[in-house]
Amino acid sequence: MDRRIFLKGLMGSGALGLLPVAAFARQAGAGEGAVTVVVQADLPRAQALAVGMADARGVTPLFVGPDELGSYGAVSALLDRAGRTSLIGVMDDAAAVIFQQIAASRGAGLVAHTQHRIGTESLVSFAINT
Amino acid sequence: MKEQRKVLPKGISAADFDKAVRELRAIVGDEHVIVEEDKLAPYRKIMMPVPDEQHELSASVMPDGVEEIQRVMKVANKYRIPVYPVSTGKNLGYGSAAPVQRGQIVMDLRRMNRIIEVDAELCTALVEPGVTYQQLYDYLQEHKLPLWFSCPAPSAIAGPVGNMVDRGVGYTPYGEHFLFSCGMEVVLADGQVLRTGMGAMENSNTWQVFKWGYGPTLDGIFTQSNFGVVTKMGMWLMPAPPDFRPFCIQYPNETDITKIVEALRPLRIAMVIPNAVVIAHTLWEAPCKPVKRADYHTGPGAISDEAVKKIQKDHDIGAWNVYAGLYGTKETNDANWKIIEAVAAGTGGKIITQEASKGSKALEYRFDLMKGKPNLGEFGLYNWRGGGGSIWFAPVSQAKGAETLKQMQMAKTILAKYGFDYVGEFIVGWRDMHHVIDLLYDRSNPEQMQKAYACYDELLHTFAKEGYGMYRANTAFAEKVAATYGPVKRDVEKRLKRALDPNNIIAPGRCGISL
Repeated sequence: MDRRIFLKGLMGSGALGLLPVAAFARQAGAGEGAVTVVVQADLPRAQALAVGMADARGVTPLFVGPDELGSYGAVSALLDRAGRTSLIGVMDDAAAVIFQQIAASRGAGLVAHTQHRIGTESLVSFAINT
Repeated sequence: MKEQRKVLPKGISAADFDKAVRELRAIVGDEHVIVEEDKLAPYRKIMMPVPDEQHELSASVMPDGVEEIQRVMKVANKYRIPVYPVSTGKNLGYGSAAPVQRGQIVMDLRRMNRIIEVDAELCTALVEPGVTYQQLYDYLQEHKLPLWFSCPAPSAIAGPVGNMVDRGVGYTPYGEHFLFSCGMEVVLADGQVLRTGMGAMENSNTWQVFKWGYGPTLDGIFTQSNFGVVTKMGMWLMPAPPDFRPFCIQYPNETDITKIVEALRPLRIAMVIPNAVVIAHTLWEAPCKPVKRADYHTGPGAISDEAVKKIQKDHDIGAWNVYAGLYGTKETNDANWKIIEAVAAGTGGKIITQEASKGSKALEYRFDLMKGKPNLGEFGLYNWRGGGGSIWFAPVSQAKGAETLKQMQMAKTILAKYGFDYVGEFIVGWRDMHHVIDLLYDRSNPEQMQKAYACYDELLHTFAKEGYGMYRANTAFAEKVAATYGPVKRDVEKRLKRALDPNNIIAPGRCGISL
C-alpha cells in the first residue's frame, strides 16, 4: 500500500469530491466505522472537497477557522472530539502539517495524504486513524 | 501472529529481528512495540528531499523509564540492532523522527514525559525527554509560577530535551538552549547510567545549579551525537521580568543588514538587549502575515526583487525586521528604551511597539516567543511555496555586517539558480549569528525534491569553501555536513564511539558518527 497519494495538476470541480472520497474510503479503512471530516473554513475549494467527502459518508463536516487550526489546544480538542474514529482533514499545507504532527504525537497514524494543486492554491487532504 | 513488515535493520535476518522484537515486547509491553507498516507513519520522514525508502524504519519501541531503556540496550547489543532515540521528533526542517539510516528501530521516548521537579526559588527544572514545551508552559501556569523558558518556533509540539540535545535556539535571554541546560542523565550503550556534573555524586542537591562537577565536563559529547540516550535534563528557567518590552524595528533595504548588525552587536554583547535577537527577511515574515506568493509571482523561478519590494509596500513589512526585547524593571527599560530609539533613528529603522502591533499575526507570534510562550505561528511558512516541503540550511556567521551580507547574497544566488526564494533570518547570539534559511519546496513534486537536494548540497559546499559551517543540519545531510568539519574531529568522534558504543547500536550515522 502506498503511504502517500500525491495528486497534482488542475482538477475540475466535478472531480474534486469524488476521487479523494474513493481513495480515503479505501485507505482509511472507511466504510465501516465513524468518520470525522475537518475542513479549513476560509478556503472555499477545501470546502468543496470536504463537502463531497462528508456527503459520501453521510456526515456533516466541521468547519474550522485557520486560527484554530494553528492552535495546539484547538487541534487537540478536535482530536479529542474525534475520539477513536477515522478523521479526514482538508486544509492548507501549514495547517495539515500542524494537524498531522499533533495527531502523530498522540500516536495517530497517517493513512493517506493527498496534495491538490487547484490553480495557484495548494491544499492537502489527509486521513488519519486517531 | 505473522507481522506485516518490509524493512529490516542492515545485516539482520528476519528471524533475529523477530526474536529481538519478542524480547522488546517482553520489556515494554506488546502495545509499545510497533512493527506494522501502517502504524509506523508518525515516524516516517517528511521534510527530507530524498526517497522515503532511505529513511524507512523497521519498528518503533517506546520504553517508559531508565530501567526499560537499559534492558532495550541489552537486546540491541545482543542482536546488533541499531536504535534511533527521539524525544518528540518534531525538529521538522532538520529531519523529524525518521532514522538516519534505513532499518533502524526508532526509540520513541514520548512516554517519558514527567516534569520531575521545578524549583521556583532557584529557577530550575528537571524534565524527561517526552516533555513538550507546551506541557511545561501549562505546568508553570497551573502552578502560578512566574518563570519563563526559551523555546524554538515549533514550540508547542517540540520539547526541551530534544531541542537542547540538538543544540537548538530560542528567542529569550536564555535562547542558546544548551548553554542554559544544567545536568544530564544518560543511559550508555552498555546500560550504565551516567549523571553529568554534580549529578555524579550520591545525594547531591546541586545537579541543576552547577554545571561542571569535577574533571572533564562531559555534557557536550551527548549533544548532536549518538554516544548515549539522554533520559533527564536540567534546565534553567528565567524569572518573569517585572517589565517586558518587545519591539520590532523595520528596515527598508536588503543591504541594511550591514548597519543593523553593526548597530546591534554592541548592544547584544553588553546585554542592553539581552535576548537572542532575530533579524527576519521579508519573505520569512510574509507567509506568517499571511501573504500569498501566488499574488506576486506565478510560474517557475525565484520571486523577483521587485515583487519582494511590492510585498513590503503592500503589507508594511521591512526588508529586514528586527525582533528584540527589553527585560527588566520599568526604570531600567525606560533607560534602555532611549538607546533603542536612538539606534533606530540613527540607522533608518522604524520601531513598532507591542501596542502598535495589535492585530498583526506575524508580530504577535514573535512577541510571544520572546517571552517563551509556545505557539505554532511560524508554520505559516509551509504555505509559501505550496506543497509544504522545508529544509533548514543553517550556517553560522560572525556578528559582523559584511559577513551577514555576504552570506545572504551567496545564499540568494544559489537558491535562485534552482528556482527557490531566499527565506531567511539571522538569530543573534552574543558574537555569532545563526543564519537560518528555510529552503521551501513542493514535496509532492519529484522534480522540486531533486532540485531542493541539489540546492542544499551546493549551498553546503559553497559555504564550506568559504569557511562557513552548519550549526545544525537536516538528517539527510548529516554525513555531508560532518565531512565539512574535517578528518581529525571525525576520527576523535569515531574513537569515542568505539569506546562508548562498540557495537554501534545507538543511532549510527547521526551527525555523521558511525563505526
